Amino acid sequence: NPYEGLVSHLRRSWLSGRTRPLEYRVAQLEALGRFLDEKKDEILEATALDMGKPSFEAYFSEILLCKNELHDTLNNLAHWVKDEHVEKNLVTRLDSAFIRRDPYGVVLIIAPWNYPIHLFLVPLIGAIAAGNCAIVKPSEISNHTEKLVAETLSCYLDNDCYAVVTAGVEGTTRLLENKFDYIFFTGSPTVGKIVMQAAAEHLTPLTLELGGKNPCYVSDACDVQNVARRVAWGRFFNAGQTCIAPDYLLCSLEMQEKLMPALREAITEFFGPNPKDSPDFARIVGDKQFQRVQALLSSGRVAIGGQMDEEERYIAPTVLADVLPSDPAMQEEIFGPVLPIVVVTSMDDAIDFINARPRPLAIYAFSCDTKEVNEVLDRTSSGGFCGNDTLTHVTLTSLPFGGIG
Amino acid sequence: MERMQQVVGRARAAFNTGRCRSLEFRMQQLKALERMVQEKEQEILAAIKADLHKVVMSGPTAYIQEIVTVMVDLALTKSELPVWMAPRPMPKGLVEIRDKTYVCPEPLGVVLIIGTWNYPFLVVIQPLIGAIAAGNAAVVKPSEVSENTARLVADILPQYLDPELYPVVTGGVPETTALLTQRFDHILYTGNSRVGKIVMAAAARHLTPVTLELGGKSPCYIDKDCDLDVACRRITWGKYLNCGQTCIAPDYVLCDPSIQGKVVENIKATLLEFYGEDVKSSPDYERIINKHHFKRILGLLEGQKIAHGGETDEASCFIAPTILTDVSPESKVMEEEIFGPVLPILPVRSVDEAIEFINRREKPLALYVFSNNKKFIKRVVSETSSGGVVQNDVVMQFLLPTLPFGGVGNSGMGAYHGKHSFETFSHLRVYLIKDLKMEILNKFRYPPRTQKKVKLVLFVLLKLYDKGQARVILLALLGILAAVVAMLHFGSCLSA
Repeated sequence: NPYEGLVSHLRRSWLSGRTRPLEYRVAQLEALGRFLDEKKDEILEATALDMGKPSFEAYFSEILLCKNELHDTLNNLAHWVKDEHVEKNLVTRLDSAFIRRDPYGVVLIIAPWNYPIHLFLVPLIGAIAAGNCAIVKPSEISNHTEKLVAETLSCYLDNDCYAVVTAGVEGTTRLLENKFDYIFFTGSPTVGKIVMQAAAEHLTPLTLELGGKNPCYVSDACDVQNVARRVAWGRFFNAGQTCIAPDYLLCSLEMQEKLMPALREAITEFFGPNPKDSPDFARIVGDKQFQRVQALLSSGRVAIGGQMDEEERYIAPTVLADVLPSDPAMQEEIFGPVLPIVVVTSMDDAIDFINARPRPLAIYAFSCDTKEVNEVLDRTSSGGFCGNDTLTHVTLTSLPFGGIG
Repeated sequence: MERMQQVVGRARAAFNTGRCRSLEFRMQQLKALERMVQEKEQEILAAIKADLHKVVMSGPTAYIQEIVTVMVDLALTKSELPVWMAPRPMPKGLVEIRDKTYVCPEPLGVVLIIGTWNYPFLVVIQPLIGAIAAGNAAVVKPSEVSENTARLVADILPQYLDPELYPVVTGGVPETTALLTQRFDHILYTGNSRVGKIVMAAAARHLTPVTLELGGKSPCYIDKDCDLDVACRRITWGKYLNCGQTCIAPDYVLCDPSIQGKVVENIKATLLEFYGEDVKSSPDYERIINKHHFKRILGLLEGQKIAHGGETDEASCFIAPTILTDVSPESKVMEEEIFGPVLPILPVRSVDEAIEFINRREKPLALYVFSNNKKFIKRVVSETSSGGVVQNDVVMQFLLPTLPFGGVGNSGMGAYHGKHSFETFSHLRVYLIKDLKMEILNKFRYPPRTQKKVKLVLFVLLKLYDKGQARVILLALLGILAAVVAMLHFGSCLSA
C-alpha cells in the first residue's frame, strides 16, 4: 500500500488535535487566500496550457469564485462552529441538549480537470474550516495545473495535515484502498460508483458531485435574443466543459427556427466571426476527449459551427438542429461546445422527455411566463433549477450545490 | 428477484403518479399510521413480547420504547410538516437583487427501510414516518429474526396505509439480497457494520445515498470525582435495558482501579432494586433474542473474572445480568459489540490512558462520561469522536426527537428522528429564478472581455473579507438613507 505511510502520518496529526482550534483553521484558510493571490498568474497560465482556458474565465472560476467561498467561510466560521441548541422535552428540561459539528478526521478530495483549482479548493476550504486533515488528489488530465498544485500548495499549508497526491487511475485506486473519514469526489457517475464501492469497504461517508445531461427548455413565449445570449454563454463557457452547462435544448420547431439566427448572432457577438481567433474561447482538454466530442457531431444536422482543428483541439461553437433522442449526442453528457436542439411538440412533451431520463444536475427553463417556468420546476426533479438563465445559481455561496440520483 | 422487481416497480409507478406529494396526502397517511399504532397497540406489544420476552406494563418497557417514541415522533411530524415542507429563501448578493433564490425540499422517490430485531417495530416505523412526511414511497423490510413483529407489520400496515406506496417485504438474507439489487433513491439500514458495508456496496451500484444506523462498543467512562451511586444506577438501567440488546447501551466501563470495587457494589445493589433476588422470575427482565446470540454472548464470558451474575439457561435464552472485572483489552469480550447483559469493567489509570484507549478503537455510536468536573468531561469529549455524547447519563439522547440520531465511522453515517428524518428523505433542490428583462446587466459577463468589464465584475461579485467593518459601513449608510427619507417625508408633510 504505497500511500499507507502518508495516510498514517496525517491520521497521527489529526489525533494530535492540531487542526481543531479555530485560530489554526483561520490561519490555514488565510494561507489558502495567499495562495490564490500570489499564484494567480501561474494558475491562469497552467489552465491556459491545459485547455486553453480564457484568462477571464480562469480568473472568474478559479480565483474569484474561490475567494468568495473563502471570504464567506472566514466571515462566518465563528458562527458555524457554535453548538446548535435544540428544543427540549419535559424529560430533558433541566438538561443541556445540542448538536456539535465535529471534524471527521482525514478527508480525501478527488478533483476533476475542468475547473481544476476550483473543484479541489472549494471542498478543501470546507474540510479545513471543519477542522479536518486532508489529502488532495488533483486530476492528472489537467497536468499543468496538477504540477502547479503539487509543487506550490505545500508552501502555504501545514504539510503535516494537508498533502497533495498526484496519481493516475491505478494510483488513485491504490489510494482508495486506505481508510478515510470522508471522501469528496467530483467527476463522472461511472467513477463515482467505483469511489462509493471503495468507500463502502471502510464505511466512509462521501459526497459525490457527478454530472448528467442538463436539459434546457425554451418556451415559445420568450425574448429570443436574450435567451440565445444566456444559453450560448452557459453552453460555450470553458468550451462546454462544465458539469452544469445546458447540455441540450428542448423547444418547438418554430422556436428552433427563431433561435438559429439569434444563437448565430450571440456567438459572433461573443467570439467574433472566427472563434478560433478569439481569446475568450477555450479548447478541449485532451485528445481522447476531443475524439469523443467529435463523434457526437453526427447527430441531426450541423446548423452553426462544426469546424474543428485536431492539433489545437479546437471545436467551434456548434449548434445541431433536429436532433433525435436516438442520436449519439443524446446518449451521453456532451461536455463540449456542442448544443443539440431536440424538437418537442409542447411543454408537456418537454417535461415528459425530461422525466423519462435520469435526473440531471441542473434544469433550465426559459419563458416570459412565470407560470410556465414554475410548471417545469414543479413537475421535474434535479439537483438545481435555474429559471431564465444558465449556470448562475452556482455562483451564490449561500446556495448548496449538488445533484440527485 | 422477480417479486422484488414487481413490488419496487409498483411503488415507483405509484410514486410517479404524484399522489404522495401533497401535504394533504402525507398528513392523511401519517394520521392513518397513528390510528394503526393506537388501534393495534395490544397486537404490537404481544408480537414484541413474543420476540423478546418484553413486559407490557410498567417500567421502561416495550410500551415506552416502541409505542411512545413512535407516537411522539408522529405528533412532532404532523405538527411541523407544513413548515418543514415550505420553500426556504436564501441570502442573495447584489447581482441577484431582482431574482428569487431558495431551496425547497422535495421527495427522493422510492426509499428502502431495512430494520433489525432489537426494537423491531420502532426501527422500521420511525424511519417510515420521515419517509412519508418527505413525500416518498417506501419499501419496508422488517427483520426476520424478530419474526412475530415482522409478520404483524406485514399484516397491519397495508390495512392502514396505501399498500402500493408502502409495501412490506418479509424474508431473510436471500430476500434482502434480491431487494438490494433493485434501484432505490435512499436506503436506511439499521443493523451491524458488517452488513452495513454490504448494503452500501449494493447502493453504490445505483449511486443510492444511504443512512446507516450501525453499532459498536459504546464506552462509559466514570471519573473518580462523581456521585457513584447515581452514576451506577443510570448505567445499570441503560446497560440491562432490553437485556443489553440496545445499540446505544453502555458496552463497557472504564474507571480508575481504586473505584472498580465500589462500581461493582453499586451496580449489584441497583440490580437487586430493579429485578429482585431472583432475576429470572422478574417480569421486567427480557431474554436474548435467539440461541445463536445466546451462544455468542456465552462465548464472550470464557476466561473472564465474573464479579456478579454469569447464570444462564439455554432453554429460555436467559443470561443473568453479569459484571466482569479487570478485563483485558485484548480479550474476546472487547473485540465485538456485546449486545447482551454483560458489562466488562476495564481499569485505566488516567484520562490520557482512557482517551487513548477510546481513540484506538472504532468510533462508537455513543460515548458516556460521568463526572462532577466539567473540565474533565470537556477534555474527554473534545479529544474523542462518537455519534453522540451523554454526560452523566446513558441512552437518553434517543428520546429527544430534536436531536439527530446516528453514528460516525464504523457506527454509521447520516442521522434521523423527527425533522432529521424528513431531511434525510428529502432532496434540497436549489432554485434561482430570474426573468428575461434587464439583459443589459448581463453584458459584463459576456465575451469579448475587456479590462473595463473585468473590473466591473470584480466590483460587483467579489465578497470582501469582512472583519466587521462592512457591516458597520452598511449600517451607517442605511442610517443616512433613513434620515434622508424621513426628512423628505416630513418636508412633504409640512408643505402639504
